[in-house]
Amino acid sequence: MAGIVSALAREGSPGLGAVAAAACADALGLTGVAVSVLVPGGGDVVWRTDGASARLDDLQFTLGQGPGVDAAASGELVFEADLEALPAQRWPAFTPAALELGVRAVFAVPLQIGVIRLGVVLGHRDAAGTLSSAALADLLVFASAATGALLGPLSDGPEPQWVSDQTSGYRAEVHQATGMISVQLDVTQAVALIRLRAYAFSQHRPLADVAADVVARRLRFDDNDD
Amino acid sequence: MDREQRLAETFVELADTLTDDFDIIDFLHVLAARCVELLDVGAAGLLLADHDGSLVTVAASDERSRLLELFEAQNDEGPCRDCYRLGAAVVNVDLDGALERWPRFAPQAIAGGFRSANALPLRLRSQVIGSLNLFHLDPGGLRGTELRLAQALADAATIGILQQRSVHRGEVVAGQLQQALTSRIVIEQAKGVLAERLKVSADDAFEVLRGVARSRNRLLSELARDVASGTADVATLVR
Repeated sequence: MAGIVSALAREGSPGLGAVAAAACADALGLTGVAVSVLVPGGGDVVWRTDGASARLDDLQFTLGQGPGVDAAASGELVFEADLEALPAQRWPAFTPAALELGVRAVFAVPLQIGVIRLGVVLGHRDAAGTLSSAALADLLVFASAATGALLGPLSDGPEPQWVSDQTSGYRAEVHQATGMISVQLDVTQAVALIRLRAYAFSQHRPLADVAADVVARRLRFDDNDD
Repeated sequence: MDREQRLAETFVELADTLTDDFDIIDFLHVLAARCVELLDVGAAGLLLADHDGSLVTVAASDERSRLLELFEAQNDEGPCRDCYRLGAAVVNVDLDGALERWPRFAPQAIAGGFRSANALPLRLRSQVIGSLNLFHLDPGGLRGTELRLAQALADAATIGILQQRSVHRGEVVAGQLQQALTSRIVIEQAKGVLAERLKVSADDAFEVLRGVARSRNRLLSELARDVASGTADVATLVR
């Protein structure tokens, strides 16, 4: 998983295209895995393993129900370790259709940063059972790396790209700066964060440094032309 | 109010975790403030471990960024990092004597006016999910009963975060931790929006947010979500 995560975050990485979905599923002990991006009206799968993943997404989109739908709406983990044992009323149409595809267990993780909801990672397995604690930790690390990949590249600093991304991911000032930029440009938090990251990338500066400038009011986004 | 009475009131207040209008960030903020009052420390902070082991500040007894940076600095070294790694309390460490142990953290803490530091584990059975950080302004430290009280407050924080008396599945714990961390990020995003709209500092924006939540009887996290996502009109809120 470490190799997959670092490939995702390498400078100039084509994002999720840099890693093979099948290798990722293997590393997580899953049969398949997919990343979908939230677009108005539903999810759009941008990266997935072959096989049931595409059908699972079609099902959820068509039926408007399923683990990915719930994870996207609630922002919470949605894990069902045995679809056969699931009460029918949970996902009345999705569950039988998923079982027909040979899917027994589903694990959905929302890709989010505060109020920003970007998408969902949906893993599935053809055997029932919960994730091991190691696989759970790996799935969350992968989700975090996928979130970064969806937001676009950051400039390479003195430390490996994904390390700076991870540690600055929760840095308070990055989120404060995002909030400030959203007002300056009258855009959503998602767009504000993308603008902040793009600016840091174009200036070859660490994200946290640019964020600190915004919070200290040394840098505004509504009076430069980038 | 004497100490006994304050202690009783604090635990009644903390028992609010069991009610419907429970708000994790507000709860932890109150808990950090009560730590300062009851334990006679200069500052208190609650840090949670992210999925990759980074320590993230979710609440502090005051929200000045200098203090928050001191908590955050412990991702590299410091009492919280040691507490998390060892799974055991780190108590009464004299900062002047800790310059070798924590060459970057100790001078930063001393510059902040602190003399000794403690970190108590937020523990769920054998798993440590984070740490309660306490800084003293005096060289003294936590004595016997204070130490037990501090651990009781740390346990109260754990119960509040996990919101369940018996959590058996790893995914439930992971889910609750992610929720608490996400709530904190929403607060930061909302602080940014308020700072820009009201022309106040990000440090002051937290108090504005909390004041509005109190006066309008709103949950802090929900109000922050509305402010950050733009569904709440800031001008109307602070009028």
